[in-house]
Amino acid sequence: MIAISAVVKLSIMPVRIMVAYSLFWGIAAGILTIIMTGLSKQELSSFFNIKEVAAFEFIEVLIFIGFVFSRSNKSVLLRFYPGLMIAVPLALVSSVAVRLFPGIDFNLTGVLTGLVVFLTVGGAALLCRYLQAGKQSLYLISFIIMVITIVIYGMA
Amino acid sequence: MSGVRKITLIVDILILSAAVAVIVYCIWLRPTRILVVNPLPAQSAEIVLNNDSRHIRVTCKPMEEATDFEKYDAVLMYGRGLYLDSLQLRSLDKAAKKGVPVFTNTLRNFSFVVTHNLDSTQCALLQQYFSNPCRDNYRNMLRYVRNIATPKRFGDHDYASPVEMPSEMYYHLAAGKYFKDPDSLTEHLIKTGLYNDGGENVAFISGVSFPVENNRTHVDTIVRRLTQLGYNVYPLTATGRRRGEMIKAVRPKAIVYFPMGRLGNDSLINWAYDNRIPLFMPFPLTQSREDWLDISKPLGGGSLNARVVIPETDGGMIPLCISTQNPNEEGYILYTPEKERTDAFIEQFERFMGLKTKANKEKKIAICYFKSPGKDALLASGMEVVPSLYNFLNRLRAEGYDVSGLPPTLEQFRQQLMSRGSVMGSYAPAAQKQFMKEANPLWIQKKDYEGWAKEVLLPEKYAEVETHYGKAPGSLLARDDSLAVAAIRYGNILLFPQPRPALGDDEFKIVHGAEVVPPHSYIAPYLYMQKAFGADALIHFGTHGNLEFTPGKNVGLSQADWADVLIGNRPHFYFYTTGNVGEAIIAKRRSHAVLVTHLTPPYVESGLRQKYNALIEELHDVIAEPARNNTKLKQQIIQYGLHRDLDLDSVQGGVYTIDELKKVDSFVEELANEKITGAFYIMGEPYSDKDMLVSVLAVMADKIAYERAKKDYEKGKIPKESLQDFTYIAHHYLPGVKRELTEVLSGHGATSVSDSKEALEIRRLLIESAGAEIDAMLKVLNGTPVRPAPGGDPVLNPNVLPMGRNMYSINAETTPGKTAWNNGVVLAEQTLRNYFDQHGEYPKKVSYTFWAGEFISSQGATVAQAMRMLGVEPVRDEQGRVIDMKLTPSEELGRPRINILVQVSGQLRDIAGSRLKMLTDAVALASQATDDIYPNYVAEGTIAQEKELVEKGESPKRARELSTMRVFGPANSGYSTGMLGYTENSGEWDDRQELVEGYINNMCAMYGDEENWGNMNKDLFTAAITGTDVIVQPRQSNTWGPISLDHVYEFTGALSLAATSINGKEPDAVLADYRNSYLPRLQNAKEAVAVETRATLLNPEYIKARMKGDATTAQMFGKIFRNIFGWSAMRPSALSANLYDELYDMYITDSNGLGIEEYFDKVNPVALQEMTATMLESARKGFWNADSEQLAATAKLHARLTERHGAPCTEFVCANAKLQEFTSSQLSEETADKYRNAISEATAQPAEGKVLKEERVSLLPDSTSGSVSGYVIAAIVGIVFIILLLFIIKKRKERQK
Repeated sequence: MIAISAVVKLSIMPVRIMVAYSLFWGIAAGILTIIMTGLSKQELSSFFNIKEVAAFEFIEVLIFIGFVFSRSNKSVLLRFYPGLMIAVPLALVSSVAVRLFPGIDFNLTGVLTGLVVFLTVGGAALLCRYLQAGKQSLYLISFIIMVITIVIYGMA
Repeated sequence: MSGVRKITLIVDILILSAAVAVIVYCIWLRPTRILVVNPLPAQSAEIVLNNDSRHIRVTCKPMEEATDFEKYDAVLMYGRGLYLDSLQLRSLDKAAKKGVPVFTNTLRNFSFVVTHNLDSTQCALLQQYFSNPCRDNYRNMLRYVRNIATPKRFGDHDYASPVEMPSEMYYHLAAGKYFKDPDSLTEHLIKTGLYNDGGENVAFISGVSFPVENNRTHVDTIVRRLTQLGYNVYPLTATGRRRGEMIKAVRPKAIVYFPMGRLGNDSLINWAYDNRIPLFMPFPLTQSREDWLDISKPLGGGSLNARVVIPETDGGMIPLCISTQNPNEEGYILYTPEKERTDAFIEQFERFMGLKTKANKEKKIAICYFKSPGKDALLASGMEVVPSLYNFLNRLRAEGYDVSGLPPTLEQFRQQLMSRGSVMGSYAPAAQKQFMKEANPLWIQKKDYEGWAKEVLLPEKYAEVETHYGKAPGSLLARDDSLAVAAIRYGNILLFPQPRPALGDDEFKIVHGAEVVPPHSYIAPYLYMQKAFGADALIHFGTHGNLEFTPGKNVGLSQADWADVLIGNRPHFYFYTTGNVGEAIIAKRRSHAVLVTHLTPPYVESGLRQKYNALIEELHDVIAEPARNNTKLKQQIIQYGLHRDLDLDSVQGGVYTIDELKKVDSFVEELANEKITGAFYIMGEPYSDKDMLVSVLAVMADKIAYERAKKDYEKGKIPKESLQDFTYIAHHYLPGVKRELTEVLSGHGATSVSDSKEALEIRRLLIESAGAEIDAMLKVLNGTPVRPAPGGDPVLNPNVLPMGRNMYSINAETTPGKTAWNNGVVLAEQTLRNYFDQHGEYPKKVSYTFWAGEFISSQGATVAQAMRMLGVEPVRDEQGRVIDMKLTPSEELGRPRINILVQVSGQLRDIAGSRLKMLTDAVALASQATDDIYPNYVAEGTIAQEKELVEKGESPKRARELSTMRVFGPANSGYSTGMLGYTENSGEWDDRQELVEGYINNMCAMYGDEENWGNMNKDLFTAAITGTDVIVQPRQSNTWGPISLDHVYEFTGALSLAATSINGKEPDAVLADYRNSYLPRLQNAKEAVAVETRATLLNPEYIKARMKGDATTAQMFGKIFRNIFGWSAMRPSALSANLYDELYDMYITDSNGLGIEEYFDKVNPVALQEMTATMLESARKGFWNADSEQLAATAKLHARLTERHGAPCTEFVCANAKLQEFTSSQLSEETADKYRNAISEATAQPAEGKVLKEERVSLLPDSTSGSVSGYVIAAIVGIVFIILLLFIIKKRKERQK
């Protein structure tokens, strides 16, 4: 869900910015992959603390909702805020990728992961753009995420 | 002039002045900056500390850190190992272009030499300064360089020409004073008041080629201390023959050598021993103090070899570390004497030299013997202890020692030992009480004990003891404020048994790298020996005790190590069987013992040739003519029970195939030729004539037979396959050789001159050896050093004869040796061939056990096997050392690279750590092989290991680092797997899985690289065991076999059990048999067990031979039964299906009429109690499917012995309440009551089993509660995604409308 909301947000930006962010996330995923090589399961579990993730995601969706209801284009920050919490699913993807291919050079795994993330994020953003997801979809998704994060936070 | 102009002028003048000042400073006043590159730490210190000029600034840097050469005025480099990269060379060029002189100190063959801005005269002079390192030369060299580099600068340009240092000289404390002969040095000592009139001379060699100045405090300290003791010390430096000549010129009474390899050649060493000159070899370490004290940083590699291993071949004594290297305030690394160690060395030196002069009747000798707890016999491998000890004490008396009170007869002596010199277990409090009341022990007051402990032990070490066992006197043998110690004193001789090294739960606890702290009851007798008795020397009697296996450093121990501190700076001597060199070396290095070897038991006729002769003949006839194959032959084979041992069918009709008959033939031939040992050796008593004959045949016959076969092969008379076939040689050559040798040794007939001479010489040496150990011990107690010799089985290496010598190890850096490599290749390929023939495919993983004794005897053949499996081979230098490895090309290998796992004993870890690292590198190399035309199971295994570790929670990076780890062993500084005690304490475990967990827990320390050395990781070890197809156990001695030596089931059995549990299938188990050095071969473990069982335990001739022995010999039966129990627990398939029934027939019902019960009743009833207890426990555990009659008979015998002799108070019986209950249940009520009473008299505990609690250490925290299930979240996300997609599509359609 976090990734979906971030991708939808990206799809609302100009294409060049969208591509730039996709590239950025691709590189970030590659770097995260290298970082993940040094984390044990125990450390990962503290990294992906669900309560903390829920809390931060809640804040992010507020930003998204604020963007949705913002009337002017003057708030650059809101407009070009890419949804930083996508780093969490990317980190998850990186941690899985690095564990999936024992024996393969970690740098190579990082590069491949980055490439896949770049293509996936970029492609998904383009798809959402084509489907004209827009602010309304973003609002709906953000609302749903808000509910989910409240529930998760309460249950965790 | 206006104000502004004035100010401007002043400023201008100031700026100009400053500029001029700077220029003047730079040109004339600045110190000359000299950079020294790649010096050794000691050299840095030397150069800097000898710089007395404030106009010279010296900077020393290792080559990796040397940059910005252009910032210096001169550059001096040490060429040894020097290498500069392109950036550094660029900087050096820049400096050269600026005119900076650059000089490289070279010796021949250095590949990297750089010189700039110096002419040949200058280079020659600098080389002279470097080649003659001393205070003056360092000082003058720096001034000379200043003169070249910065001639215009003021001050300190004067320098003297290089002082020519003689390459051979005597020297002393005063710097710069060298002497060409001892008389000149003597004059100097007299002049300076350092000469001791009447003092004995000591030759001192510091082991380096020059006496460094300013950095030799450790040398000076020893010189000074020995001088203060009253000796005249003659330090000298020389090499080769001149060293020997200079040493002899001193006419020393002792030699002190800081070893760097051998002291000299054999001629010099023999001269020293001929003249009763002891060799003391304490050594300086290049480690820091911190590293020295860190037990996770063992001494290894080149340092271990040069300082310890090679000097052992000269018989060097007292391998104490007397100095370390540490930075001073300025950061320069200097030798730092370790005061406590220096004191320890001086004290030991003094005490040893004192043995030469002190009268025997005044000497106090402490003798520590070994004994199982309770009523069991005294213990020593291969030696009958009580008569040996008695013989030794009588010899002491004959030599003038005060042994007053020694009983007149052996029997009385034995009774005193058993009643007063016993060892108590914590599970028998009633027995303890009785002992304290009746046995007249030594009582040590708490205040005395604590006072001694304060003097001898470090406070933190004693605090550990108190934390673990409470305040003194502790719980064992304690009463009020006193501690009872079992000891007997005869005049000036103190005898005491070595107590239990741990108590209570520690006896069974699974240690996970934790130090086992000895209890008060263990420490007390040693402190008493030091402080109250005041022993002049300590002897440990027989193989072996446990003090040398207490955790700590592998060599170079400190006061923090129990093995060192409890010996207490006494000369320490150790009677040790020649057959166990691996463990002997540990005693030598960790408790600085001088070993004195004694004989193994004699070889005796097994009688099996006669038993199976007819069968052998018929087998050969049928194999030669297959048409003669018949059912009668098969029936015979079945009658003997051989089909069970070889997994052949037992169908009465039909015939066996020729291949099956060949298998039987090989097995029976082996049985017929199996070497078995008889009653244990008694020191001072030669073998009987008959046993002597058999022993000589054991040493010589195989060798001669093989040589004759080889000659026939060279002449073309026999094919190569026959030469490599043990059965062929055993049948065609061995009988003839044995006949001829028997005639020669009986004084009739003759064989080839060399053969008979050699056989007669072996006999002479064996005769000489009986008593040689006592003679050698008496000599060393008089200060005559013990000559060095190799160790091992005399059959494998007759050079170990005669006895009475100080064993040494091998240089691990040269292993695997060339012969070992060839043997290793043969065995590795045979392993694979056998497996392939049986299973139709290659094994993916082969596991090895490395032991120290086998490593030494075979020169590393098992290491060779492991390397060959990987497809890696050694690369040697000119000196034969293995310096590198390379891949064997896949084409040449002709098969897949096979993955390995290695488990090591602690002893092997300590003596050959560098080989373990090498093997780990070999795994990494093989994993990376890409040229393979066959599968690479090593690479596959590495990836699988990485994957498994990741799945178990390890980080991918760490998992990859560990993926090439294949070598594991007990906790660092520990020696035991812990499995013997654990398995045989069978009342404490119910499920074999507990044994598996215990084994993995104890043996998961990895030994692959320095960074991870000794780190424990159960997941890694489990991953490494996964996929094991074959386990290989080494066997290199004829004095033990898979059932007579407990360590075989301890290692191979435990690994087999673990592999079975992890993999779900039992791996094959084979023995790599090196007993015949000409024909190393593999043997299936089951077959090996069957051979040994038939040749020994079920062989009436063997039993009769052993029944000639005393209590210790009898005790071995109990031990063997417990080993069989161990195999039943670990790998029951290794035993014949009806072995227990056969043992029952032989020992319980005595079907052969050997007088079993009478013998044990008289000699050692405890042994038979143990045997019967083992049988009953095996039945209780389900290992023996006994019927009620068998159980009743066994229980009755056990109870009868208990009623007659009382409870044995051994662990197996008295610490196992479940067994006691089971035994009682097989008896009548009356007998059961009597039995229970006898047991409770000793244990005074209710008969409930103690359940062992394993300490479980969780590596992962408990998962947090209340976490949301991932599946729930995924489901929610999925549903929402679909709704969203539908919504978006709907909206799009609406817009389009």
